[in-house]
Amino acid sequence: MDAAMQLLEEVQHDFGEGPCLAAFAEDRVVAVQDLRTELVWDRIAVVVRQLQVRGVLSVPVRLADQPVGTLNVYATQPRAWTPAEVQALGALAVVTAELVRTAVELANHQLEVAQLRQALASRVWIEQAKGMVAATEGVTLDEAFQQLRVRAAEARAREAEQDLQAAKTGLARRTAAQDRTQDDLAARERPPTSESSSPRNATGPLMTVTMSPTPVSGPRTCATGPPTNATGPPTSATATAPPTNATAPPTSATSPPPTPSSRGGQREQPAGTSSATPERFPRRRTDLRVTEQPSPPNHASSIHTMLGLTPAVARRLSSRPPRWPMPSASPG
Amino acid sequence: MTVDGQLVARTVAELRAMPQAEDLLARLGRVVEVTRTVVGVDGTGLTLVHDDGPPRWVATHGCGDAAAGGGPARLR
Repeated sequence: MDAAMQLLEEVQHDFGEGPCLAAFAEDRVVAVQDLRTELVWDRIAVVVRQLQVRGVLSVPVRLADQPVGTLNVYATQPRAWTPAEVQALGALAVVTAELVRTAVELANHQLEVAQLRQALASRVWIEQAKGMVAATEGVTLDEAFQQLRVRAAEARAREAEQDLQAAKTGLARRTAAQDRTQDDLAARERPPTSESSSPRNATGPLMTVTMSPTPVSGPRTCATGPPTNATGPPTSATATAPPTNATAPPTSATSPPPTPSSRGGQREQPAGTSSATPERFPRRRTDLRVTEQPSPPNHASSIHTMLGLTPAVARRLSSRPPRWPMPSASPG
Repeated sequence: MTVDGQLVARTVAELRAMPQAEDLLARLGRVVEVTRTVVGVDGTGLTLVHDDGPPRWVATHGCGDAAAGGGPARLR
């Protein structure tokens, strides 16, 4: 019977319905003559049919005018519960509530006593600290106490700030690691494109052409890019594109070395490697990416020209606030 | 079965007179145990709210024809 009652109460908890839960939720006495014929709780009916429990009487246990549980009695045979039985169970539920309330009050008293003892112990240290601050700073005891409170608050704020910063750093590192993992997985799962097997690509590797954001004295580096690149000023864009034709010589040979500023803005470009190094995984021809390198405003129009934007769209984009911090303009 | 009113009153008085130093779970188990006798049923159980939501059983007392299971206040 113990196991059956326990199972019945756990099933009610798991399925969220049953006589005991109804007594608790509705704060009323629930008397069930035969649980098997009671069609109110469909979800627990399958389990109930396999139990020996038939009659159930459940009375709420109330604490501070709120139900905090139920006192339940069970019968193995169908049973019509009498008012005297309901009243007796109610009296025992009241006693149960009193026991719980007494225990809660006792626990609260014990907690309060422990806190007062700790306060008394720490008060000794506080008084000593007040005396030291008053003696060294030449202030009154009240002023010394205020100084101690301010210092304690500042220390707590510093610790909270450090904890917040540590949490932000950890989150950023984890996000970066996840990004790297996703990039690696995407690179491994990317199937070879049909262009990679074309005769055009067979004659020369794909190239990464980097254009410096600062004017350079050497020849232009975007000779293999779209026609708009040939006329535009150098921009801070990194373009990954195959050679436009099979007969064109590799233009990276004429490219000047990237400036420190342009090198700092590159992504996925290992330091010390040539920008014309063939990529391990060929990219699509239209793979054109703009790096997150800060770009001076006077080069924005060249980027728009290179991307083939209309002047109206370019103006609208230029009016937007930058998505990355802009460097302060250096004189000259 | 008729309920003996005097038995109910006497039981309630005895339960209230239990020493407070005793463990709460043990005292609740005592309530569940005497309830079976007073009301004359085959089994009794007590559920109380927990931190994670609705009430769950904390004590049961039956006729002992099933030995499986267990819980925080198993009385057998």
